[in-house]
Amino acid sequence: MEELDKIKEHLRRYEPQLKDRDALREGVIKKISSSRSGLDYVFGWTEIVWLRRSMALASVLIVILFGIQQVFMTKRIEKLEKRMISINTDKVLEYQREKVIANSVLFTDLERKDMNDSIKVATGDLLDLVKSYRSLQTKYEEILKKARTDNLENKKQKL
Amino acid sequence: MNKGYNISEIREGNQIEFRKLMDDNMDHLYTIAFRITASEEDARDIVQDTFIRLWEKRKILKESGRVKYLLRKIAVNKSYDLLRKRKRNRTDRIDMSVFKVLAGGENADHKLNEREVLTILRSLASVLSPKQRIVFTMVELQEMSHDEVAGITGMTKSTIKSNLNHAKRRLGHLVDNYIK
Repeated sequence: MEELDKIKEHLRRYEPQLKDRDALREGVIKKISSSRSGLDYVFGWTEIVWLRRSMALASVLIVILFGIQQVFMTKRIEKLEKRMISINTDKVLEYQREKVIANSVLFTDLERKDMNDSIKVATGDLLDLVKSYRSLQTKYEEILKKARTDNLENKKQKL
Repeated sequence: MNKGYNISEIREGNQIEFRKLMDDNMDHLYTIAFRITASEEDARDIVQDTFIRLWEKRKILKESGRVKYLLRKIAVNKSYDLLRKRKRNRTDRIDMSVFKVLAGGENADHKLNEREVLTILRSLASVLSPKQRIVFTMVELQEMSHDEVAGITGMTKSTIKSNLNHAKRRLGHLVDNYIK
């Protein structure tokens, strides 16, 4: 340790000489004179601490607001999707019944997560199927109606 | 307070006053940077970058001014960044005979030249981490108090103490090895 102390003493006594001080000084002046570029004027405000901090805080708040908005939007879309199917099936049924039923089938099918048991059916085929189902239903209703009226007539005749 | 330069003028962007400030502090900063980096070229770059940084920060300078403190702080931090970037033990083979000359009692009046100083500083630096090097230079060579070093580097006093002890131990071993 004693040797180290001697070396430290030698180092302390040595004053390094800065060579060419003028060149260094002028180098600094040259740099600080040319450093005022257009970008400095645009981004000069970043030097102001309180402004920089408040901008950072604002950006964080905007990101949080964006996240909250996204959550609300997703929930709203989900609600609207559910409503769309019910509107299709209940109210528009009057005049595009077949298409509406087909659409609702397609929608509900697409929403299903587990598609392992599903089969693929072309939209045209599905519409034909619904049409034939509808015509059968109409015929069945007509037959029922006819049967009812026949029954009533028979009863009248018996009386 | 300050010698011949007007802080409020500098704050307003007066380069003539800033030249005076540079003249006043250039040597002092160069000595610190030279002792830490053990390189004439790096020390010059650090001094230059330090003044440029101070100019950029001139708006926060106060009349009562701790300009010297701020300059030291910038220079030390820049030196520290440089040491961290630099690969350790980058030093080439160093002629260690100078240790024997200096440690011998009969050479107490020996005046070191720059080459010898650089040799010693580089060999000392090769066994120290950047933090140890900063602390050792500031406390042992610049003779700053632990409080001053803590203020400049942001280290706690206990970190400074432990780094200084490690540095002294390592350097002690190094010097002993070369002398004995």
